[in-house]
Amino acid sequence: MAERIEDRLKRMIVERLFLKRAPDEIEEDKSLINAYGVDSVSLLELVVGLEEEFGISIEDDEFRVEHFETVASLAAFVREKMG
Amino acid sequence: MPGTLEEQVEIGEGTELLRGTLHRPAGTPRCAVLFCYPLFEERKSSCRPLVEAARHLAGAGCAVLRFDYRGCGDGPGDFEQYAPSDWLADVDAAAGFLIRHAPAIPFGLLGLRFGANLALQSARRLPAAFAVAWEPIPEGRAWIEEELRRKMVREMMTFGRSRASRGALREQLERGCLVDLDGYPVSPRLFRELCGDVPGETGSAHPPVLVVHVGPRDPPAARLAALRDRFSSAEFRTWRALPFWNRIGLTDCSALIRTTGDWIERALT
Repeated sequence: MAERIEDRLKRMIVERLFLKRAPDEIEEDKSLINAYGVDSVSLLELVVGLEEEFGISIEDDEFRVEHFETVASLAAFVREKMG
Repeated sequence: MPGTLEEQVEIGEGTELLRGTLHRPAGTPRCAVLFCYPLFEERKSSCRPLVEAARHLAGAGCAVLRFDYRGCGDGPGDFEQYAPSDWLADVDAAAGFLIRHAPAIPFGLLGLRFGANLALQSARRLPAAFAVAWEPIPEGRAWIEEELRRKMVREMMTFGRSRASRGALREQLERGCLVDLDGYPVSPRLFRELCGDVPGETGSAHPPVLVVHVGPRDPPAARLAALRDRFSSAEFRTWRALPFWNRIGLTDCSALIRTTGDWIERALT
């Protein structure tokens, strides 16, 4: 069975941002900024990670905080981009 | 470091004095190293690691000079007046100062990001025995795009969404207008020169070069190929870490600093 987008995202977030926790410890509805300390600096790393991991291109008008709030919202955004 | 000395120095004459810190080792220095700093916000976040690197190298017997370019940090003038060609001249002036203060010993450069590019360019012209480049920028235009993107991410965090598109900002620059990059006024001249490619090593003798990629994973194949293409005879290493020049808070760079110090030691033998 193909890996869930949410699980790929969690793995990517932990790896790219050097979070000191296991991917499955990240809760999908918790704020990445408030609960996991993602800041503007690491957010750009996340953007690059999304593009490389999922083969998508994030357009300028898609830089909206609601897309990046949680793993759940990121996954919905990625699904939309991947069609 | 016990026995080392740090002194504030002024470089040059007249009204455009550069300012820096000279780290003197205990005893006669074995080599002299000029640090070339990054630009924009990267300079701020990397300040402490570069101080620690300078102290480590001074502890190992190197005389180290850290300095600020014109328009940056403690440097004279305003940022928008200057461009890479001016900062290359600043590297020349600082190198001359360091070589005069530590004559007859090997001289080298260590640069981070944009400073790595300046260090590599300068190593081809100056009497350099070695050069170290921490995460050089293989393509200036791609870097500017990344900085514009970073601006958009910051706007998103502040206002909920980005305000201007990269296209609009780029157009402003190409039309000859200043663009604010988080308080740094990027002039059209700066933009043009930053978008110019870093010269490669072809056709001229060059000293030993260490290029270190710093990132959370191995560089994408295309990026690595671009670096290898530009700096074909360099030794390449990877240090797995978040880009500390973009981080809020301190990053422990001791592993990178030790590796660099060991490499310089070998380059001198």
